[in-house]
Amino acid sequence: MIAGFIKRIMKTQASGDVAKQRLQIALVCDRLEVSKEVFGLIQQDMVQLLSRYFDIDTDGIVFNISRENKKAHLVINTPILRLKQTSAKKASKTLATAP
Amino acid sequence: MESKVFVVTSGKGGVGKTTATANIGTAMAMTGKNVLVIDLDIGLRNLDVVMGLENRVVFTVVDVIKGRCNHKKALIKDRRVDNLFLIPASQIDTKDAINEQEIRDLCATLKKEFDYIFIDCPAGIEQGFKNAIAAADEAIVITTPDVSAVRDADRIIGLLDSESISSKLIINRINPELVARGDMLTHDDVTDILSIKLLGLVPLDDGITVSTNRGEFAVTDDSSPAGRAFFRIGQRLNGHQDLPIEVPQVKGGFMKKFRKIISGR
Ligand SMILES: Nc1ncnc2c1ncn2[C@@H]1O[C@H](COP(=O)(O)OP(=O)(O)OP(=O)(O)O)[C@@H](O)[C@H]1O
Ligand SMILES: [Mg+2]
Repeated sequence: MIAGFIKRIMKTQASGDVAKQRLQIALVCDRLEVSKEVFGLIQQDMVQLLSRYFDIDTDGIVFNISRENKKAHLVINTPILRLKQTSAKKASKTLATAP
Repeated sequence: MESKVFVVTSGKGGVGKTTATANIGTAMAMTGKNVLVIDLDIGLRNLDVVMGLENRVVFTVVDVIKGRCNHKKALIKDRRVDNLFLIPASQIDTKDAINEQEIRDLCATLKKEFDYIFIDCPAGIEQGFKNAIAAADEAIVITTPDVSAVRDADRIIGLLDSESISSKLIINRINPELVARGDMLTHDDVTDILSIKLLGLVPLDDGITVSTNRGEFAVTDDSSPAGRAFFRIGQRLNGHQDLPIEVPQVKGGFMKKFRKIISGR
């Protein structure tokens, strides 16, 4: 479903924008030297984790690697729609019961 | 003034390293600095033909390093632009003929005689690249607005960073028509992605092909848009850091298009 969705946007989007998006993802992987699959898993996990506490706009999440002082920094920028009302309680519960 | 060694590098081949080395070096010599350009693309020498100096090559950088001649003998002085010198690469050796320490020693000697030294780096990240960056104080990274060139530039910037060499970026062969149509990465896209300081934007320009054919410098030709861009890059390196960056514009402009429409051509 997601793959189909991405393909759909790519067709209608200007090719310059497609190039930028593809590069951004490829470079995050290059800079961290992880595979695209592993990076996808990290991304999924982060979204899941953050969603316990916040309603986030998953389309607006940007993962980036920046270079400073010879180190790579993982920068996750996510639009937060709202704090989940029962977030604190619920989160501690889920964490406690997680295997 | 402290003299400086710049390496002109890219990762990907054919993006304009040699063209940039020749033209930026010339631009700086035109402003009165003593400039040396060194071709370290050993085995694939090109800087001499691009500069129109191929008939004057006798000794090469490998001869100097191996002690077969004094470095003064290998210097080719340009006769059109004052204070501009070339040390050519050799064509019969390989990148492994020299090592990093030898380049550092050579540049230490040459720095006493020149204000600026530009090193034309070979494509790739192997020994030739390591040699070319060994003595560099700063790097000029060239890319084109293509996914593969930008990706390779990112790798190169990372490698330079791990050697504590700071990089500035030139985006070459920008096609403003394609950018306007949305079918080319914009310079903002590229600087965003690579997040390093931008040194200049150079348009795709037939004038480069013509001047290279003739062994002349685009930078001395006022009618060449790429030449003008290279000249401004030279000025920026020469202390005018604040000189605004000109964004390549669609050629002809409004009036020309308007006339085209009117005349139906
Ligand atoms: N701004 C430009 N407009 C048009 N043509 C250009 C421009 N810049 C470079 N070129 C052309 O692109 C080709 C490659 O340029 P150049 O030899 O400088 O690249 P390079 O990075 O040194 O290549 P290599 O990796 O093989 O050493 C040449 O034919 C050159 O004339
Ligand atoms: Mg070259």
